Amino acid sequence: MPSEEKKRTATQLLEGLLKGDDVVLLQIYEQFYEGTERFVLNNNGTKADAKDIFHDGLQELFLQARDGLQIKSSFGGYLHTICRKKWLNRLRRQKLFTSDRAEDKIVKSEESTEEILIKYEQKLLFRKHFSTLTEKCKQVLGLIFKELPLVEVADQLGFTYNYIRKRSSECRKKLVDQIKKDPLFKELS
Amino acid sequence: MSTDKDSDDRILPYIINDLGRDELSKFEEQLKVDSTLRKEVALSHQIKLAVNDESLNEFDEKLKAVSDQYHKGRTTHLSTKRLTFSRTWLALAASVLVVIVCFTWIFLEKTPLNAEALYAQYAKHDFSFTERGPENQLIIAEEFLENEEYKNALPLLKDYLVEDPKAADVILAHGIANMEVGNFSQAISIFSQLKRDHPIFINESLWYIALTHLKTGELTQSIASLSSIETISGRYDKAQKLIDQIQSLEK
Repeated sequence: MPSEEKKRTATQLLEGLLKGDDVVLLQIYEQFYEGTERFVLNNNGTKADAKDIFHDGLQELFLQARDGLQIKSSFGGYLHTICRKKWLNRLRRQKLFTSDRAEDKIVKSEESTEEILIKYEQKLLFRKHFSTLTEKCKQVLGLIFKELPLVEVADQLGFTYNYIRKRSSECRKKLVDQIKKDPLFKELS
Repeated sequence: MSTDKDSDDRILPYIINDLGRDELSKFEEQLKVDSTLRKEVALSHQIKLAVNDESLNEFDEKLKAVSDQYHKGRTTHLSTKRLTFSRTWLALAASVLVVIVCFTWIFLEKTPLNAEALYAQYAKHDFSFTERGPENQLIIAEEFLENEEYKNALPLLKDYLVEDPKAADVILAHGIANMEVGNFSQAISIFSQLKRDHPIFINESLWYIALTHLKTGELTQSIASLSSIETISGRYDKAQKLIDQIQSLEK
């Protein structure tokens, strides 16, 4: 007998995703992850790549849903298209895949323009590089990005103002350099 | 062209409006003539917005937890794993499959099983707790569990749950340890509470309630619990197979 979860429509899945509903998120994994994994494994990828791509795909879908995306067709199909594009783009950057097909370069989106999709990709790229910084850099930059004055950041972390100013500048520079070196950034710019 | 050191140091205070009046006017003067600096400021501002996206941060945390839960479940349930073979290995894989099928047919279908043997066949547990920092207590408990020293693991798990009563994976392990040492009613009570309080553990709880009943020979209750496992669950196929096997025991 099909479960209640099985009967959720694309709209309900999208709403659940947007709310961060654990049950819906797990259902999405259980229903759609294996398709993406198969695709990645069959196209020069590993299981770790598949996990990464599916996670990124859901993050992008969350951003689209937050901006008002409505899926009129299949939720799974839409998600798979995002993941597929992400993986093929990654292969292309690694020179493992070439294609002139337009649909391999741009997600077949129902409501979003390419420009908006680039904005999402950039956002996720910035966050990914931020997450690779040292814990100290993440802590310092995290507080500053929350617009906490440097004096307060120094106070909170037990350092001098001058140290925080210097350290935060170094962390920012490191982050920006890392991002600029990423081939995806060049592609999106 | 790269920006000079002083300008670099001013970018962050500038984007959060934390520059003094003199520094601000100097910086703004420089911005007017330095396009590289303007790009650096714009990029830093975009990064700030991306990192500071609170609802995305919250979503990301939840997604990581669900992803861990899902992948942990997949690792445990080998029956749901789909192995992909390259063409070269396909022939070899097919031969191995034939041997496995014959083995399974001879030993599982032809050999009459009892509830205890069925339990032993299905009671394979995976214990890798979600990382929660350097708690020695959990690391030691995990070692005990992996070595099937359930009695030793029990007090550690119980103590941990006093501090962190919502740790679902530890609650599950606590239930399993109770089941393994024969505290059946305690185990059922733990799994039932887990099912009630943690929706993403519903199918896992049902599975273990069924195993506990199987171990105590309460076959009807075991089938009832297995029948409630949802079709979307990674446990579903295994649950259906176990139902068939239990039903054949009952005949």
